[in-house]
Amino acid sequence: MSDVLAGTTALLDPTIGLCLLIGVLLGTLVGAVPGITATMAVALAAGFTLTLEPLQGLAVLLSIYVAAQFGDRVPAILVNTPGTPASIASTFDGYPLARQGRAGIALTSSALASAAGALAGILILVLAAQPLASVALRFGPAELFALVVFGLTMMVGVSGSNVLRGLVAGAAGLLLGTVGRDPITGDTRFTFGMPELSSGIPFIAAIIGLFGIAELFNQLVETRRRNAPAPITQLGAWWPTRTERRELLKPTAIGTGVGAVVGVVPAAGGDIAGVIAWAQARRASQHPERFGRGSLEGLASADSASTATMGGSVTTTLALGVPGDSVMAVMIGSMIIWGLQPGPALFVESPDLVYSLAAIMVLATLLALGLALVRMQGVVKLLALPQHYLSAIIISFCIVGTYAVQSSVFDVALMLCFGVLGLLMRRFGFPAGPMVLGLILGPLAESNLRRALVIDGAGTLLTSPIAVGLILLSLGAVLLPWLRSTSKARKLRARVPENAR
Amino acid sequence: MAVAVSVAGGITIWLAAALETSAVGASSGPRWWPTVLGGMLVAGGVAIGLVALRRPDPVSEQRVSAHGLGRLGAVVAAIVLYGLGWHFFHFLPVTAVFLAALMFVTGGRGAKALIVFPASTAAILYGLFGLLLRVPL
Repeated sequence: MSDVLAGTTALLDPTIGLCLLIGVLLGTLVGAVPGITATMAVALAAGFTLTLEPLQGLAVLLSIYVAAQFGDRVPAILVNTPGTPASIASTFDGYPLARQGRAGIALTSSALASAAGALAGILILVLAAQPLASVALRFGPAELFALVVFGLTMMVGVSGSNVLRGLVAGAAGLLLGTVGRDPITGDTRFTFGMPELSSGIPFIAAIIGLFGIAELFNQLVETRRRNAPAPITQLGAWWPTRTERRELLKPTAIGTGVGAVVGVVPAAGGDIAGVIAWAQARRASQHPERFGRGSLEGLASADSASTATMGGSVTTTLALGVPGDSVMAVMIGSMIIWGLQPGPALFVESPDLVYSLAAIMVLATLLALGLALVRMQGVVKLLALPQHYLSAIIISFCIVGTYAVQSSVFDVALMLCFGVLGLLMRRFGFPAGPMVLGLILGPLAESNLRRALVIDGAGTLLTSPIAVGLILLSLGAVLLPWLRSTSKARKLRARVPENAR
Repeated sequence: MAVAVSVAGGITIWLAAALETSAVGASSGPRWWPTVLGGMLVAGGVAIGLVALRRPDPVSEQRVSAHGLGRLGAVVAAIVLYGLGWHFFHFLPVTAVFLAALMFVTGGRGAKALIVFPASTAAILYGLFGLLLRVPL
């Protein structure tokens, strides 16, 4: 109980409130602008929050994370374009509702369902993080190595891209993690005489390059035809009727349940949860025929599910040290720089921090809900902002933000290199997420594997039930999508008549 | 791309073997893990090549245009020049000129896009990083 009290009273500092407000405003804005994901925004913000105190910085990053999940519904509903991947399922019913002249009700219902989902997810964090960390505290080197492999393969498996390329990206990330000092002997490796690399690849430069600059470069090289419909500006009635509010309850409960479960799975985020919850809510609905044509139930299920994943993601990140989604991968990097190592030991060293983070998320949710309930004509106008303004703002923030971390021009040059690498990876179908995860968790994986091999020999990975279980789950995460796609291709071939081949 | 991945893996193995380490004769010393990962990259590259020969990937990304590549080259050149200019001049004017160049390259035209926006954004960046966060810009 004293940890809860210490964690929440730490937020009484007025600067934390200011950080929260800034984070919520930034998060809502970046969420509302298609093309800027929450991961990209948190990566950019990581550049300037590192100069703040850890709790202040975490307040900015977490509130961007939370508020982006509210802001991204606006373009999903008004322009049929998800602001971030987490709101993909919001377009299924949000845009049809807006076209029916019910954009205001859709926006309000979405905000209410999102807030319910987010708060339920945070409850998972408060209740499940400590027990999960207690289990993880018993992990030895073999189990910790298996946990890293599990996190990495889950990110590859759920990313939806080519599994083989995801694994190669993960291996390349682990390799980048070997740059600098050896975690056991202290020998320098792959620094090529550059002292800037002796403590490893600067993480912020890498993530800003891979997530920020690469995305922008990709937008620059593409022949992009702007076929997006003009934003719907007539929002209509704002507040749902009593019947409509009652209609929201069941799908919100379904969405929250799905999101809470999906969120705990490492690397699975709001996009996956939203689509699953939408399908489940349609199955449970008395009016499944309305789904996809403007159903408030469909919108509520998708939105509550994607926000409910946040609590689960933070739980996995803090308790196991394995990121719950790509935003959490960036957050882990920032926390490590602040001297906070996410994982079971965090609950021993700074138990109050977990409650501080949960309280920050609750406050950010309430602030973002308040902002979403105000008629956001300004946000609607933002949707019409020309792309070149955004590009210039993002590039300048990427450069200055990266420089700000260590006042190093080397970091800026490295960021540019990672931007080009990220662009090439993107064009050739290699996901950036596993590479970032490999870079963060590489030293942890290497040191634990080598320790396990030295202490107990090669058999240790096959004798520990937890390690074996995690490795089997990892194999499942990699093999299942491959088996599914192979079986789908076989079925498709069987359907095509012989003479048509 | 498969060849590039395999070559990168091969170079890693070669560089790992050339590492000077204090751990003599250790089976899992500092060279071991990078060598394993290099081997994984070689194997991954070969596997990607074999899969691509059997079943070419459907192209899901939008096409790259010559105009787009030109814009990318111009933006990269502007960033490099910005880095050089920052060494010799004050942050504010260099950033304003850089932003104006970026706006021009990415399609911005007119006084609002080329003068007002770059000047105000440079001032905001200076205020946020230079004055508020005390970063030595």
